[in-house]
Amino acid sequence: MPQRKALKNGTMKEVNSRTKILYRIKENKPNDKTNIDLGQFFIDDNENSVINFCENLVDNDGDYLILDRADNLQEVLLKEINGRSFADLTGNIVDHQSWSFNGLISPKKWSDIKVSIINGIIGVAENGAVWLDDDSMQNIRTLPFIVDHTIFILNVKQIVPTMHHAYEALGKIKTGFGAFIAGPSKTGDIEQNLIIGAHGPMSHLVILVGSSDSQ
Amino acid sequence: MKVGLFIPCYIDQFYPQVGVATLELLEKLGVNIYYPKNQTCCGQPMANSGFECYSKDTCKLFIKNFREYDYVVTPSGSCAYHVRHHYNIIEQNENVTHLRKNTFELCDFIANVMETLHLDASLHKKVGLHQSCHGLRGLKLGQGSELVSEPHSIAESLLLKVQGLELVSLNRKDECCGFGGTFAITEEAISIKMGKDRLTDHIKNGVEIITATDMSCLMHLEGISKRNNLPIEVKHIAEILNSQC
Amino acid sequence: MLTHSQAAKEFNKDESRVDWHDKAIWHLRQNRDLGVNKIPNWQQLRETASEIKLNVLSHLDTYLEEFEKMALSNGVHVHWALDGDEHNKIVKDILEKHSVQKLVKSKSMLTEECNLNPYLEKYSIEIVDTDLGERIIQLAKEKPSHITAPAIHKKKEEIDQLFQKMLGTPPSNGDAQFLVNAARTDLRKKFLNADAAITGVNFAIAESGGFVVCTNEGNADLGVHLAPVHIACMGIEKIIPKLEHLGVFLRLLARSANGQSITSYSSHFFKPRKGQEMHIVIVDNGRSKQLASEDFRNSLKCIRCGACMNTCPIYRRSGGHSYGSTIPGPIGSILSPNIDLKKYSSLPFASTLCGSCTDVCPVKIDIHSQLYKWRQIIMKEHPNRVKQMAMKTNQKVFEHPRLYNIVGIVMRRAIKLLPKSILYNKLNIWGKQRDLPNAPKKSFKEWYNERS
Repeated sequence: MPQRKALKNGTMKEVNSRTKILYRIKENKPNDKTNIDLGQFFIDDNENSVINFCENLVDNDGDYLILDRADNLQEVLLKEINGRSFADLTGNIVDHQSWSFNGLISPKKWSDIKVSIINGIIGVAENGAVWLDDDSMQNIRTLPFIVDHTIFILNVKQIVPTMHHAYEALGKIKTGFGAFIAGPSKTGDIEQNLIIGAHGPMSHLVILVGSSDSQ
Repeated sequence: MKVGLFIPCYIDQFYPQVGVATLELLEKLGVNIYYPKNQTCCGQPMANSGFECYSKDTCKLFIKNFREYDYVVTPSGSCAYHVRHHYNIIEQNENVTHLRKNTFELCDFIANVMETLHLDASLHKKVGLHQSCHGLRGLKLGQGSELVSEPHSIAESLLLKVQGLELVSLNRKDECCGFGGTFAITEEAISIKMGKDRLTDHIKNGVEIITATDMSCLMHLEGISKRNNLPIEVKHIAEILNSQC
Repeated sequence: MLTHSQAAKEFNKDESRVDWHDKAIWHLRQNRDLGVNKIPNWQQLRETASEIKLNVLSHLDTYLEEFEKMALSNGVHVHWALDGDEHNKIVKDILEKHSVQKLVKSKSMLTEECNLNPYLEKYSIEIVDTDLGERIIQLAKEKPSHITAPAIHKKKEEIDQLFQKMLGTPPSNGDAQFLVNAARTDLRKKFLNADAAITGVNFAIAESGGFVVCTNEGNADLGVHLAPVHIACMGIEKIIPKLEHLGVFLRLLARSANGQSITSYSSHFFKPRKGQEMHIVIVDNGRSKQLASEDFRNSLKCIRCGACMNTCPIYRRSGGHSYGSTIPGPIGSILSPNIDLKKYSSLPFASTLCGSCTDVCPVKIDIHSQLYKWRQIIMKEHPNRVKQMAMKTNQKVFEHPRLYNIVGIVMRRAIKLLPKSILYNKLNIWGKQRDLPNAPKKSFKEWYNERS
């Protein structure tokens, strides 16, 4: 394997690391035949998805509220916000002033926002996680990580049984950034004591809407 | 069916009663059992220490001694495991292939090869089963707690057939005892600590006799128990399955 | 460097601490058991993950090229580093280009492997590890002892004293909530003022050029989304082919680590945010060499969950630092000899080959088989002369039945007749804390011969 390539003009060029690495891999890789079958994991578990979602969310130290048609979402949200400064990206709060993201404000000021309200796109029953992306975050990626309290709005129809179903539903992901968020920020690094609210949110709430519709 | 009896070197030298119990048990169960007198060792001590190269002739001697038998039975999970999995280092002829498939640990043989089983044993004691690792995870004599599937244990089901025997549940079902061959010498501090922890688990749960498919584990546990005057005995499973009292 | 055995002996001088350490880590194993038993097809999931990873190894170059192509089309810069030194230089060059003085870093075992922190400190770049466990050991000037719980060897009172000394906090008697709050305050300032953020990569997806970072703390995200520059460091083996394969790995990872169904955050990075520059550094550092080995290439399937060290009875009773390697425990013991056979020659022997690690591994790496195979190589290249002599002697004895019988008789007589002071001399390591077995009058063979 030549270390140097002679170029047309007679000077020598170093073969770069990329070439070396790929060459080594080509030379050394095995020739194994493999059989990948994901179909076996699509067992239809839709029946208990909502209950499972809620149970697993609580297991992951999050919380949930199931609204029925009679509940007023804005009222519920304002109750959760409890007077703190908030950023509502869902448009559900019309009567109060949400934090305004005019591009001139430095991200460092975002530390002053205490509550975020964001639409979830998919919910995963087996772990209580909610998927959100650049669209639902309106490109303010820092928001769900920097606030003290996150609230996600999710329609129960958007809940799927497992991660396999979730990725199937997401298909070819077009967003620049997305995340499965399953609970508040937490750590067990102080002698295995579980402490909620490490560097990020200290609490995490999923408000499930549309349940009376599905009855 | 002609069955050859392989008695591991340390049982031959230090725990002949386990060999006796094994032979008597198999005879009682109607097995045509033979003991080739020129046997010595399966080669495991050298191989596990990184010197597979020095075990080849020992392996060949094993093959020479046992090649005419339909099955080989041994009261040792680790020896049976070694023959099945690590005899790939010698030339694979018909005899080697045959013996690698048909060397069985004692309980495995009784449960899976023999067609009928009438065990006439009794022992009125609280017994703790130490699930020796090579037998458990290597030979799949039971379900390791790491796996997610139907629980089963050949040794347990045989022990439950012994009249009057009370099988005690432990805090850690299948943690290693710390013998590990030359590990017992080269990592002495941890080996002892692991053994002590196993003994504590059994004693705390009221076990009177610890049993296992491997005498090497029990030799290690007994050594620690005796040094510390602990109120617990060890007996190989062959001795229990062969016991009447 | 101490061998594992020497370090473990030191560690075991404080038995109550060993008990504490063992219980803390066994707790992770127990939680793992609870978590995985909720998935009835867990074994099929492991098998599928193993197949995916084998597929990756068989097409690694193609997937890496695909990954690079997609990442570049997403506006991400891609760099390749042959080894740790080159990785560090690439990172430093990016930071210098952006005049970075303050850097935050989330957990990346790869950057530990490359010794990035001390390298950057030489260039006066302040580098703050933001995972709480990593922050603790950074302040303590120690190395991580576990790959997912880096400070698991530290008691809360020790952390309290450390914070008092390094962060100026008042004493709290090891109050975990208080200590986390103190870290939160301290690190929030670092996040807000960082000029760049470095993360590791849990999984890199070939078909989309993106990658996933999993945390419970959210520290990777807080760093990346506030900083103008994001550098993600990954080993070549972190690639998986498709997005849908993440379904398999994200179901396995946290459950294997500590029983959680998923970490709080599984962040998928595809394109930099507007105004941000994103870089990926792809690192070889011996991995392509490991790929060549039929016996050892399966170790490259590792997804760094830590399950093997949680279950390992030796790891729990000796601590991660006794291994002296970046990655300790069973997986560390099969990865490290590839990096430096002599330096890490004691690691494959720090095991009873019980096989528990193999059975908990979510990607079915045959860890205990690889430990056995490394032993053969190590004794060929760097033989322990005492062991070698003993095994050569064993070979002679076991090959010759008559010699074996005689040696047996002599040994049993010696045990019976020698006074304890000679029998249990300093050279008798077995006898230090254990009694020798009794010496029966007759061996089984002798009994059998008489019987017939």
